[in-house]
Amino acid sequence: MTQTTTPATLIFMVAGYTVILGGLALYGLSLIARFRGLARQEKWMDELENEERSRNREPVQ
Amino acid sequence: MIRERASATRMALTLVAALLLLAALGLVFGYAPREAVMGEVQRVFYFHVSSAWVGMLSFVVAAVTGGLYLSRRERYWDLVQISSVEIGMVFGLIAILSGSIWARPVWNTWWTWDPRLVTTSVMELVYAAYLLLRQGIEEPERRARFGAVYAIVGVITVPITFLSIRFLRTIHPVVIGSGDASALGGFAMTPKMLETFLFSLLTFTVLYATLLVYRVRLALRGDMLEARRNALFSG
Amino acid sequence: MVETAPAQARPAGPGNYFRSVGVIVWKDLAAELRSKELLGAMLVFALLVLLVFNFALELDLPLRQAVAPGVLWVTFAFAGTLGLNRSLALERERGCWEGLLLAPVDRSAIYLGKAFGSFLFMAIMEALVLPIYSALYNINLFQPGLLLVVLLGSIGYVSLGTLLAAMAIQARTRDVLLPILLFPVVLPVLISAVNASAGFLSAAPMDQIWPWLNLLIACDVIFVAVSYLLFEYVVEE
Repeated sequence: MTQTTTPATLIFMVAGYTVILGGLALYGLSLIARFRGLARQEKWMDELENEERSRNREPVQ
Repeated sequence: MIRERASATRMALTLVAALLLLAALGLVFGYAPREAVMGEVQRVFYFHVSSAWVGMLSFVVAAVTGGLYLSRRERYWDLVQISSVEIGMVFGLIAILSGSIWARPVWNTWWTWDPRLVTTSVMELVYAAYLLLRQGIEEPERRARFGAVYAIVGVITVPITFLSIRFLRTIHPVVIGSGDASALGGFAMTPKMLETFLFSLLTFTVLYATLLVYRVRLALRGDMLEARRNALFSG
Repeated sequence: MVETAPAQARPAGPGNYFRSVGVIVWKDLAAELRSKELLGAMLVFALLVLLVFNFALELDLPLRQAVAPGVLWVTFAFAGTLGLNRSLALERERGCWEGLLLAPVDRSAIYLGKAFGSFLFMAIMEALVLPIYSALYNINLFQPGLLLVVLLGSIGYVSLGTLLAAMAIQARTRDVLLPILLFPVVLPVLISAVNASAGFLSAAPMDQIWPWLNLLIACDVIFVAVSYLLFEYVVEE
């Protein structure tokens, strides 16, 4: 006796994979966002350090 | 030069992970047969169990790095631990949610007291407790030490919890909701299904490794930035 | 108030070790007998939990007797948290903590002393709760089997609880952290204890109860060993 798939389970499968792949994607995106934020802060740190360095080089008046 | 080589390795790993994921999806939807009784929703099983597997693997890795930290006191192991916990929580949550979605059409309930599902939830709670513990401590050294201790306690107690619940279910087979302990494995696995399943496990393991590598790198760079900040503002 | 450090000039040895443990237990016991803060709080809290359950569950007699083991152990779990927390926090408040750590005592002896002290407090609380509980739920709880389970369950609970409480009180969120840390990991003890208790109360045959007792004993051994070994990492200063 062959059984036909009822449409209801298809919806649930789609929902399941949305959760799984969506969850993975969200986490991946969060990592990318955090890396970007870090790069921005590193650049700002570079500028601050350059400022500090040039300030130390100036002769004291 | 070393930095470039590391970056190339990371990119290669990412590529491999992406390809494996695409291949796994292909197998799940193209190669594995449609299950007779449950229909299409059974396909969720492949990634659902693989996610749970990664959740548990992360848990073990967290405990092992805990032991390594306590014996060597190297900050690196603490960073790997927090990375593994974070990733494990994500995969654990995915496993629980996808399990719930799978259960709904099959057993007409959003939740089953299946020992594996319950244990995964307990593990997730231990993860959350771990994070709350770390949040409440300010000194980085103590935070690392306590995290290590709790991760070790967790990895020992959670399997015992699983055994207790499993034993409980074998002597109380009739329960409100889904039923017996073998319910969530309650379909016959044909060879094609088994191959798809094993491939999914492999894919998710590589995915875990890739995410771990990146997350640890994020933590390391964050640490270096913090050191630079301290050097700048204390001088 | 710093207490005199025990056995400074004597050589290390098993007799000395257990004497240190005994000193720590006695110190806590004596302090508590004087002030009765801890036991009072635990007892009142346990009774309140019992009352809340009584009104929350509103069951008829047979059903109430069926849930009795569960309610009993939930009560012990919550009141036990209180005892663990306060036992270690009081040390810090009174300033004894540094003194204790400076004493030439093995850190693991501190663990055993604290754990045994907490166990005694929990046992006293249980001894007071059980008769009241028996009366409220109309069951005889003074069966040897049940008392054995209460004993074994308390050992498992207190062993992990002491380790985790030592961590929790060093955190900012100390009051809420202990239950959050303890409950997920102490589940095997609770599950075994509840089921063994239920077995004894319903006069089930021993071969049905033995597996739960075995699991409970195994948990006790594992939890005590793990906590004993890990405690020193938690009290480094």
